Amino acid sequence: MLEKIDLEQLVFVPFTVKQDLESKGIALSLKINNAFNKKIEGWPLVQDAFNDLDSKSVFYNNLESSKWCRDTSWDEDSFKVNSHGFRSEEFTNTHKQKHILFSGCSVTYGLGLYANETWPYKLYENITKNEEASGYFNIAKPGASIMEIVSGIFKYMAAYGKPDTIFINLPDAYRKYVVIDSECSDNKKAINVNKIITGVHQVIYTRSSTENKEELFVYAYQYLMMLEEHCKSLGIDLYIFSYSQELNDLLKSCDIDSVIFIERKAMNHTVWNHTKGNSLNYKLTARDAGHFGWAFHDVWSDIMFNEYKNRQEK
Amino acid sequence: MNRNEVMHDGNRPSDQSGFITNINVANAFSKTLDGWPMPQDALNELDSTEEDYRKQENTKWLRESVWDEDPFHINKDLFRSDEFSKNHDGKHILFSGCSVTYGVGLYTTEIWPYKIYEMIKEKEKVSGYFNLGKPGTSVMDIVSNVFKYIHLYSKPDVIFLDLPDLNRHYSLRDDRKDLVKGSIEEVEQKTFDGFFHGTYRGTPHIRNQETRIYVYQYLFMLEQYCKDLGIELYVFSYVDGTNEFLKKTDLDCMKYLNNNQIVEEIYDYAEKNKENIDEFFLTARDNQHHGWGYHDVWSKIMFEEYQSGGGRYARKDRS
Repeated sequence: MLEKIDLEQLVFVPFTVKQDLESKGIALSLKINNAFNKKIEGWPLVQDAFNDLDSKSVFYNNLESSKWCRDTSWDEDSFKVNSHGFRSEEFTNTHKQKHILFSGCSVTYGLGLYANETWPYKLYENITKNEEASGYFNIAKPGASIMEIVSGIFKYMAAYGKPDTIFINLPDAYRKYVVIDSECSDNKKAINVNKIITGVHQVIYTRSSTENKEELFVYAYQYLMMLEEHCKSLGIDLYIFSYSQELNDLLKSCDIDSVIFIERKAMNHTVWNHTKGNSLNYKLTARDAGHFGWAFHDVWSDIMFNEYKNRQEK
Repeated sequence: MNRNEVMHDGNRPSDQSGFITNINVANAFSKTLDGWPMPQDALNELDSTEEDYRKQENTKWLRESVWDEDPFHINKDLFRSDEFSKNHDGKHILFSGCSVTYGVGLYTTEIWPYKIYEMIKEKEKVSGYFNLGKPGTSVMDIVSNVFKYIHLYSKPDVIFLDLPDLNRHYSLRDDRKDLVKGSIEEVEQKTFDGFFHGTYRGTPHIRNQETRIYVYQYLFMLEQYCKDLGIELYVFSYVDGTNEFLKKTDLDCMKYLNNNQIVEEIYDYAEKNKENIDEFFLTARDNQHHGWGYHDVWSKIMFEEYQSGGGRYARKDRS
């Protein structure tokens, strides 16, 4: 369950810790509390504010990265964050109808958008027009790497049973786990195993960083391969796509069967056609001015719904 | 195969400390199995006249050993195993691990997986001896190969793993200055071809430490897969550091060995039974790996674990 958190301890904004993260090309870093156990771990920031919009926390109220959140009216949003820190219905072990799971990073979480503007929710709504589902379950988490997304799905399955269908929207491959602790910073001191357990963070690298980022490709591939094998063995219908053209290019060279390649150029063209003449706000860029707007989510959900229908017909 | 190209032992990755070995990972991005081409490939090629092989210091022990007693050559996928098959008449048992499980320096009959296999075979019908053990390999390589094996040859009924130390991980060969030259496609291809699997010394290095989360997650995902598919999974490690680390996690599949006690027992046995042991009881023929005495003890402990279902599995024929 989501516990009261110390925002300052959780996220390094800006990077004032002893290690020079920026020089290592790290753009964002978030502490992982359950790196070495089977508990799933939601996103306590910034969207926790959905449950706590009137927070008096000085740190929160001064946090630049959550300003958009404080300035937005959330009355229209259909979803609060659940008790585990996910923007989802409460998880359950009982699934009498089709059990559908969504996962991904901030895009699938829906940073800067209302839940009903995001691709997983739209896709869920489309599917449930014709079939009954056991609920809207979304374990996406901002900043998550491919490894965090896949291991999160395994953790979800361990706790709440296997879904019938899984949809994933993958981020770029420049995200990984690192150990951040002042005692671990110089590579010279012996590192106590407890420091490893407590020091794991999830980081996103900038694209210009050369900090071993290509080495992450092999982990990205292997996590997806293991998930795909798991899903095939258990009869789970798995759909994977990515908004990252670079990741698409990488995965095209691999043998993951569950990937639906959405070319960025074609995507942009479709979004452009979709929004022509539409004057609504946030169609191209979300409220946080950093994420995709709702028009992209419209198109992704349509593409994935068609994929879903085609597979069901087969 | 070009041995020098496969073993990247002259130019270690520039930002790695304590590098010991590095071997090219040929199938890093495909669901095909990548066996161990050296030096035990010589078991299939003991009379090789290739100059590189004849002079190689780390295979000297191999050239000087008598292998007539060994029942196993390397299979066509380069594993020290029966040929892999999709059809299994009898219990399908899979073993995996690093050089210890591969049996570097020992005859197949002297190693723990073969001993367990023989013990199980006395009581149950088994479909063959299948061993994915590969020298130098990491926990991540061991686990991902198990998934690849399942993809290719169906799920086993039982899996036994012996885990190595945690200072092993994939790395990109970054001493190649040509790696970032050329078109995007060329760079990508060179990246794909440039993956090596390294073993590093236990000296502190942040990247070695960071692999621990992958170690946990790979094992956790395999454990979950086995639970969901009804596969019995038995895991142990001959390394104290690995045991110490994994004890802090919530994995259910581990059998934690008391390695200090095992060493005491083995030396005590050796002292009292000098006439029953040979020079490879404590140390294998390569002068590096555990001798067959250790494999005896491990196999007995893990067979007992198997018989009791690890306290986790109920089996009809289990008394």
